[in-house]
Amino acid sequence: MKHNLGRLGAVLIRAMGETEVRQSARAATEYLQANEALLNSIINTAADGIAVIDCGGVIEFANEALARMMGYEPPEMKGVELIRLLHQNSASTAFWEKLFCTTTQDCGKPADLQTNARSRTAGAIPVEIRASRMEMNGTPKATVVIRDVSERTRSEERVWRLAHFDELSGLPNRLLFRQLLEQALRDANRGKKLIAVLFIDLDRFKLINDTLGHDAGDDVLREVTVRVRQCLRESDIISRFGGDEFAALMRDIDDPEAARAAASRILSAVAEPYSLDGDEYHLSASIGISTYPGDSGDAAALLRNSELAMYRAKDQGKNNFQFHSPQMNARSFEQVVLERFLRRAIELDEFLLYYQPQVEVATGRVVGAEALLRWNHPGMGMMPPVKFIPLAEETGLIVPIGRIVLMRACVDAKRWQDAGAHDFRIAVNLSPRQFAHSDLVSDVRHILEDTGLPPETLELEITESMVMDKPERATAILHELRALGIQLAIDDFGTGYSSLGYLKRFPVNTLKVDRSFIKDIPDDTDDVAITNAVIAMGRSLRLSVVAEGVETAGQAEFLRNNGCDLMQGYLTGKPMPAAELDGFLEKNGLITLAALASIAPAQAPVPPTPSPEVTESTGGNLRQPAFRF
Amino acid sequence: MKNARVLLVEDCENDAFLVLATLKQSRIGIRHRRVWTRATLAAALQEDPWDAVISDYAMPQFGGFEALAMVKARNPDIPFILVSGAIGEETAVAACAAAHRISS
Repeated sequence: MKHNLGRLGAVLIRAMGETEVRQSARAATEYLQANEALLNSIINTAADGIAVIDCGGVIEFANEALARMMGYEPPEMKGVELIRLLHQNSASTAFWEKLFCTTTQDCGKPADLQTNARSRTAGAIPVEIRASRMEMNGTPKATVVIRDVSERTRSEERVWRLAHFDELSGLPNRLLFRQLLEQALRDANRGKKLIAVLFIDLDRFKLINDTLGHDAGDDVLREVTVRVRQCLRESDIISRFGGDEFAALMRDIDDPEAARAAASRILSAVAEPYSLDGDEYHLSASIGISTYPGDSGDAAALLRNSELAMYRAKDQGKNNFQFHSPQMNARSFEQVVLERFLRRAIELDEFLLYYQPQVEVATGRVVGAEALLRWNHPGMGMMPPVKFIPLAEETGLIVPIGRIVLMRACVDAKRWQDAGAHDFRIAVNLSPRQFAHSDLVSDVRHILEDTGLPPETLELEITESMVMDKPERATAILHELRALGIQLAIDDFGTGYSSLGYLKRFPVNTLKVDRSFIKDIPDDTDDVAITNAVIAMGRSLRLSVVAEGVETAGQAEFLRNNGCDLMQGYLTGKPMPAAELDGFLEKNGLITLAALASIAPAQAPVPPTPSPEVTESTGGNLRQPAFRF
Repeated sequence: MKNARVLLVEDCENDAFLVLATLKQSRIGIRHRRVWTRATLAAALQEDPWDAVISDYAMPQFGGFEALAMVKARNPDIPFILVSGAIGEETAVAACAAAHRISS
């Protein structure tokens, strides 16, 4: 033992050194573990989402709050690309560059971004993101803090809405309207377009509040809101100033006529009856219009001018509109007279329907007819549609007229069916305003119920431009109409957009080839090609194809050879009044006059809702008898 | 280096003297205490912190392995150095393994 003891000192020193190293390593580990537990506790208690991502944007670590926010289980978060959690448009280049910059030098201050996160459970969440670069073992990474600001956004929105919107109608209030008007004026200074301000005040509204109570009054105001909205373009702004005062802002209009037409439509829409407590009530409005740049370039002055004009409309007997500038009030005499005549034509039932037979190309068999509108004015005689349809469309009078047409066409078709022409089909044109009117589907349903016409024998004709304006909405309406069991046709096919993609999605049954293509077949090679293409397309989409304006045997032969299903035109029958079609159908062996005689005569047309004359006050007659139309 | 606190488990006063003299020759400053029974070893471990234990292998009262076990049970970090002239190679290996097992 003794001679070996010489190494004892070295052994002791080494052993004590090793112990010291071991102890400090253990202390460090314990310290780190405690620290990690502390940090974990802090990170997982944090309300904000926290993630560490690598320089490819892949999440290496995420806290519980982030998992919760995104609708993930915490372990699922690892390996997910951060950008997948965010809305696609959050492509703030600066932000991502800062996040992913691969250089080792410090990227300076943290980068901030406001965007939407896409939660698997809660959908889009507005978030604020702050990211800062860091380095772990020489590898660049970033710490990302994602804060759910939806609550804050909501309360900010709530405050903003309270300050800028009318609670009852949900419309912008006077303050916001004024701001939007000022903005519109700034924008308009750069362009060459006009701006119109319509100041709308309901006439005799106080009477509703006083007699039926404020709840009923509120209902009417909400209904007025909806109706006024429908009279304007989507880009126009409507505001409720309070009480029974509304205002509309029309930007980017080409000329004051657009404002005039809108005012006219609003008067018609407001004048339709309101049903309250089972009774129907009538209201009217007075509208004042000011325009930029004609009247003023200043928001306050435009508002004041439109209000003054509104008071002048009141003075003129209410239920009318006035421009602030006197020269604007002048309107072509003919138009004014025509509009008055048109309103009276509805009341006096001056409209007639003509029917043009539709026949099977292959067999010549009469299968139905298209109903065509005529106006027999006592003084001016038979008016062609082109003379009055545009004005009816502009003023909204086409809606009640359209109801009359549809009703009468269905009544007549039912008569012919009952007299023997069992499958007789009736085609009726819809106008753009009718198609856009919210009551269309229920109107059609009621008319089918009232007349007893089998729905599959009614075909409504629409044009491409009507559905291409708002394809989604149009598709929904077309589906609702088809759900009633009726048929749908695209009129004037080939003259509009003719988007094949949409054609496939619209639930239509029939294509009508426009007469302009038929006119020059079989001589014009272009028209031949187009007609053939439409027929072929119709077949491949399993649609029936109708050729319009067929006048010669050559055209009919061409259509027969190319497989067109139906045709109409002077060759097979010109448009004729119902009584004349009686004889036509009898001659074709479809009905017998004896059977027709045994049927009760065609019902007297159901009177439409009287439309108060725009240029005259309807006086104090608030309550009027209720009609379905 | 401050004085190391060394616990000497040694029944033989001469051998203890030798150990201390050797450490002194190596210029290691120590403060020490000598024990040679279980009870006094236990008390020493209880009463003071030690930087190292130097123990004889064979003592009449109890053996070096037992001392090792007591020390490691108390604090596995304390270096334990077994000193013996009579210890065979195999026993030394076993002691090293035991010391390692206990401390790790």
